[in-house]
Amino acid sequence: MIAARIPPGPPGVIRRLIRFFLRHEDAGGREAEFEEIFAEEARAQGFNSARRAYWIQFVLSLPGLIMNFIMWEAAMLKNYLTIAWRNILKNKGISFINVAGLALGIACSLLIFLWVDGEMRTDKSQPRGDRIYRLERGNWVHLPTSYRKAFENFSEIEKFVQFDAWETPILRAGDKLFDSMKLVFADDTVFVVFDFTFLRGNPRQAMTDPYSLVLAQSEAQRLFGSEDPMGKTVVFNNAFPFTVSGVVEDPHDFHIEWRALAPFKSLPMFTGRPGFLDERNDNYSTYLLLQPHANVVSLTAKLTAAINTTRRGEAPALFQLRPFRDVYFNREMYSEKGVRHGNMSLVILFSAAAVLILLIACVNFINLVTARSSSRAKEISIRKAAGAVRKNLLVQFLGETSLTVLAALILALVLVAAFLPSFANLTGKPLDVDWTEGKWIGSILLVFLFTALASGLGPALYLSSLEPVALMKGRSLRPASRAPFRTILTVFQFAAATFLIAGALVVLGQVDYLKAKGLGYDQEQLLLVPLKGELTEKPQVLSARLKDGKTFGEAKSVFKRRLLQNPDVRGVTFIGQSPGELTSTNTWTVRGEKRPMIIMNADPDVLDVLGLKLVDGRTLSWDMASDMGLSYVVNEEAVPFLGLNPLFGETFRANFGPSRVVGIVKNFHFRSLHRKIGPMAIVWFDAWTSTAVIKVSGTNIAGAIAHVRKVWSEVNPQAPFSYTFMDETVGKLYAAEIRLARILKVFVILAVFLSCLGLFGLSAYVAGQKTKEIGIRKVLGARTSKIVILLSKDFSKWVLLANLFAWPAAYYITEKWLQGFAYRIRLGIGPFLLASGFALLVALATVSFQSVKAATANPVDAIRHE
Amino acid sequence: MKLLSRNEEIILLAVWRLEGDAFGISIRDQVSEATGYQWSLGAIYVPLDKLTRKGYIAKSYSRPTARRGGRSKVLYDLTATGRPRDPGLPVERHSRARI
Repeated sequence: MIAARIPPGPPGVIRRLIRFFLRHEDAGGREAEFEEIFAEEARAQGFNSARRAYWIQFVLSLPGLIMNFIMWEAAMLKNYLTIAWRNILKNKGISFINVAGLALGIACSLLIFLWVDGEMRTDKSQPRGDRIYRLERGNWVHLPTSYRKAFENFSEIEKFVQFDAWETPILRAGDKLFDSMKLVFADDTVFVVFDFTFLRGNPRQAMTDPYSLVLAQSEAQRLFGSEDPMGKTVVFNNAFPFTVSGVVEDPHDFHIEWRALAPFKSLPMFTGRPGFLDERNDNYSTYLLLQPHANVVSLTAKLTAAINTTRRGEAPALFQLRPFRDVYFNREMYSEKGVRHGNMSLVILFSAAAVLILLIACVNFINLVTARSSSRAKEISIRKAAGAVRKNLLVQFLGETSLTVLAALILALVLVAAFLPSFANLTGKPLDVDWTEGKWIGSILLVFLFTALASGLGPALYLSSLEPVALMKGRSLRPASRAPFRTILTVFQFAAATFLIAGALVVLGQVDYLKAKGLGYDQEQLLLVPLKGELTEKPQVLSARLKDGKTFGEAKSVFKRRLLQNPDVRGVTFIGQSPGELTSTNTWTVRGEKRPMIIMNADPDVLDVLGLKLVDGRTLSWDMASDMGLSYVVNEEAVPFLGLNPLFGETFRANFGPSRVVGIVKNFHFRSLHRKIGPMAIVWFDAWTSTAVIKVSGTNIAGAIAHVRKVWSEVNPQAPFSYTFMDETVGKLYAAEIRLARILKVFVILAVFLSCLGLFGLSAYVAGQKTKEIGIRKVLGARTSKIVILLSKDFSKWVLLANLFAWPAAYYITEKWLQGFAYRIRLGIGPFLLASGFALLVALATVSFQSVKAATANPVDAIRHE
Repeated sequence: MKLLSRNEEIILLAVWRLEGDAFGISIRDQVSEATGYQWSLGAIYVPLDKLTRKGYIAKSYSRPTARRGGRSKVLYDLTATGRPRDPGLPVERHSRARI
């Protein structure tokens, strides 16, 4: 047989393994020694025994072989490192730009993702969150207590909790006075439905006593410092003492903002109205904890039916259950007290910006590395001539880029750590990061792998495919303009930059619009002074006063009279909530139908002080006792909504009994411009006013403030004096947008800067490639301008092509963002054209820097061949 | 003088003993015989390389042989620094005999 004539060799697998491990200049000789062992054994004992001996020899040799392998690889690695280091030193500037650019991009996108992560995590940490639903009536969130009976009839509802959010005017802890805090009243089931981490106290007993108070950790620190807050007393409005019964971790990721929780049953005492909870106040946001696997659809139907039967004399309403975790990003509800909202379109916009910046930075890095790699053609050809194969070159290039990327990554993390506090400041949100979390490690690893592979693999594959002889002779490589990969990258990069510029322009436009849009009332030269101490109601007087509600507080009237003695004080009015952020609502019964109304509580001077225009009827009057709490001035929106006929004659039931409309005020923006103007009414109920609005003369604001301070210290010596300007308060309504505009500006500058870096590197490379061509053209008589155009033409083409992608994307996202505003700019082509023009201009400026340099160079240097 | 590890010392002595006929297999056989247990090829390569780097032994290449598929044999021998200072010492001769 033929097969028998061929002597069987040693097992192939082992042979290959040995060959793999033998990294040695004498690898061949050593391999032969292994084979000699096989051959000797075969001669003496036969092939089977030889195969065994060969095996054994391999296994026994393995430790030595591995040692050998490491020793020789380390030698090569040392060489790679030396070369990499020399390359970095040779182009210090570009190397620095490269690493710093990538680091900046990574750091920036990491910071954004931290913010996005925080937004997405809101309300997600509640362990029973998937079973909690908020009950809503139409677009109305605040419901009365009378629905509770209905909840108890359904076995699907395990527990429910109602919230009432307050902003307390002043509080005392120990003997110190403090400014307001967000106090939320809640049923004691709140700790059954929701989960808060108790640092002190016990969730089961913390809310059983009607005067107990659970503080957020930071609030406990504010009030009591390092002292133990448990059992200490906090007095609200100088009258209502609550005892601290628990401290919980700050509820950062919870959509109801609260600094302290008090039991629901203490509300009657707090408001001074014993029957407060039985009144028909649509005031309380209501959360239901359902049984696991409860059918939400059928429960909604059953609840709607059950509640509607209890609402006698009212039109049947539609109820819905909104999943707890959807509340944060839902901004459609009419009015929500104490609820903090996220903005989904903002999250999308930011995520897009982060991804784009990261990609721009990576693309940049890739572009610069690949462009520079061609200058290493000689090194590579020598390596190849000395016996390096493709694999060696791949290892070298990948190793080199991995090292650079690693350096950039470390720099990025340092940058993130350094800028975390100021970024948290910029976004107005505390950021806490756990870097050990899988998603962070995973994404950082992903960025690392992507950048290192993309920037290392390309040049390695390309350069190692070339003939070493050709390379050594200095034959030029393919021109970059025909390298499709890099062209795509550049187009992409400019598309991203254009997208960001256009987005920022739209946001800036909208913010300017928000700032400039008249709100229908004065915001300038108005001081807001929160009333405290003597100027708030004494508890003993309050309950009596609340009954008739007629008299004007003595201290307040003195305060007002004294203030007006100074000619620099033009007017004073006492209001409840400040215009711009009205949320108090009241349900009116007009001809048996319920009408929710937004209520502004203010004394009769409010129209003068705020500059509101009366359209019809009269203002509230100081003289008519019946005006206190019973006469309303409504806005134009409310007229058709109420359907009163005759408007000024018909009575309806409101908070304080049978009431009338006495005047109509021109529509004004009493809420932020995110929302449409709805029906609202102004009423004067003095006991519930909490802020003085003081109009001061524009010429002597400092003098006026000094006067106010002086009067305050005389009338109200114990309480701390504080004030804000109305325009500041109104400005806070758009804080999110102004912040967004600021952040976007930073992003855009960064993105454009990074894109330019990439383009700069690329144009330098192309100019270098075309040195000879330019030289010959110049010798033949081409003018400098022609050559600049020749070199810039390509890039302009790419930048223009980039717009094709950037425009639709930018349009889509900004339009979505603008939809969040009831009053907004129209999206024209302007910002897009401007963005493209700017991108093109910057691109041309960057490119022409290189092309002018190339075009003005002496052609003799370019074509000379030594 | 550079320090030698135990293995390097054994290999160095083996190369000395083999007097110019030291290559992978012969060194392995020599040390296996002298120490009484089987050495693997892998185990002698590392000390050999280290000794070469330290300059105590040098290698040369034999003419390619047909038996090795046309590959040449790598031969090792002591360099001047690797040679014993005084070959006449009795202990020297004694150890040479033993190895």
